[in-house]
Amino acid sequence: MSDEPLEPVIEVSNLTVEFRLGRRHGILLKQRLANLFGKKIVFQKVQTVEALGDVSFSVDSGTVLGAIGVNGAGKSTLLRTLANIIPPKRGQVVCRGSVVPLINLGAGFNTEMTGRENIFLTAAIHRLPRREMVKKVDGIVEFAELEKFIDTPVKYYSSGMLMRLGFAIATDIDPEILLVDEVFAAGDEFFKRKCEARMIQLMQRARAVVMVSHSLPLIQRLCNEVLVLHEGKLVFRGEPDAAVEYYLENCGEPEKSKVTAKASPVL
Amino acid sequence: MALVSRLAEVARYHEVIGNFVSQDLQVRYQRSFLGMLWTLLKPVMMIAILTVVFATLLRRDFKNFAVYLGAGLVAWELFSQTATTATTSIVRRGGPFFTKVYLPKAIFPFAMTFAALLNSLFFMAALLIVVLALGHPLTLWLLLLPYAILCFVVFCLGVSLWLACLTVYLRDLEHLVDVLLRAWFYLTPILYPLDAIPEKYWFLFKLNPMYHFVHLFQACIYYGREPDFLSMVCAPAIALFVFFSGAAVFFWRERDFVFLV
Repeated sequence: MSDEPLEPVIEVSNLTVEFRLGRRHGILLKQRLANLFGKKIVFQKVQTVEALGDVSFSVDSGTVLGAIGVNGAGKSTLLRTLANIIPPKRGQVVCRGSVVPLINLGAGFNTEMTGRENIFLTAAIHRLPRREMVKKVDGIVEFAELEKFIDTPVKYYSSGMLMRLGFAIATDIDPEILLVDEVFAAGDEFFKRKCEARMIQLMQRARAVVMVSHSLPLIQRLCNEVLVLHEGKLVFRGEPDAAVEYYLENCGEPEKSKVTAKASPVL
Repeated sequence: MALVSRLAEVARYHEVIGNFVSQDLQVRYQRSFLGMLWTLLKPVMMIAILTVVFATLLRRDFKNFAVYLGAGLVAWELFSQTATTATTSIVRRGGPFFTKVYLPKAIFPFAMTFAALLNSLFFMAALLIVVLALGHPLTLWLLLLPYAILCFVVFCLGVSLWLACLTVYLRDLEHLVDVLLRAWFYLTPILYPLDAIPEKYWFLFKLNPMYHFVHLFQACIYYGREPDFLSMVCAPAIALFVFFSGAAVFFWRERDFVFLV
């Protein structure tokens, strides 16, 4: 394309996401009511945890961006914020183009409905016109290897069948921005290979990809840029090999972690 | 203006809303022997039972009481189904989606209301059967019925946005609404005509927003005459007020829902 826009495809600026801890329902309202009636009942203050703190980066067209980090570093939160699932506390996320999150495959499934009906439901959730989907259905069913079962309610499906169907639908939607959260492991070895091939095709067609994985070899193989997240902070951004090296060296055990001690990380 | 753009976004998801509505209908009847026929049978049976009980109990000389009852009941059923399903629309129905995929939150209360509307359209078809069976005369005022339905649906959408949002903060509403609906039903002239009440109390009944909607339905279907001017004006005014205030509150709070459900 000659008129490729120069603006970054994804822009994240000063993104902060907070989660509330503990019992989350109604505490605030009860507290307010109690105070209203003069009884100063002291409720436990709602504790929050900062899942992402002041993260900024941008993704240019043609980038496959990986995000690595230990459990709880904020990788999935980042992806969900990009997918507009979690609203940020502060900061901004701008995605220029259609976004398809490959997070929780089969998320919108209605278990009472058949596989075929769920294909249309998922397509509607991702705002794909029905006409277009009608053409794609057979391909999806064939890829998921569910020809025999597609008109059975999905509540009778095995978890593997559900996963295959979810993967087949999600990867048949051609997004401009693709968000991937550990979705390479579905089914037997042969299906896995088929998935990976399809994933790579999809990634090539997308303008930008952000993927999260604990599999370092996969990240090194597929990405051309990698972020390292640690305790909600963006601590490194660079070449995949350098990022993996940084990650292995600095993010290990909490006591030894040099990252949090540093005032201004490498950026 | 932000409100309009949020509503426009909901409209763009009409396919998902349609999908939820048809799911609702399918799931409800798919396993039963008579299937969709129940959508017609249920209202007819309900009208029959209430007619037998109340026509004898009240001993009023009331021509075609079944039609009068049905006209009010069709409106009431839409309202009560909307209200009860709206309370759970975000916390139960929507909840599982929120952490997994982006959807405008308002599609859930909207879908619930449209599912209720679809049901009440079946109810109206059943009522038509009752009307024909009793040979109740219909007049041209029946043409006003779409206006009554439109006002009422806007009102119901507003109520469901309010309730869906409030239940996130106060789960008790789910149960409270059930109880309140019962009381509200008897306070609205559905089982009895307003004439049965001493005239000096009428103003109290007219403070009830449901009175005006129910009155429109009864005037078009049963009386076949012009509805009171007051109700003609009050119905759309109340509907718009409840709808826009509900939408404003809902869209103001919806960012919070993903953390609270």
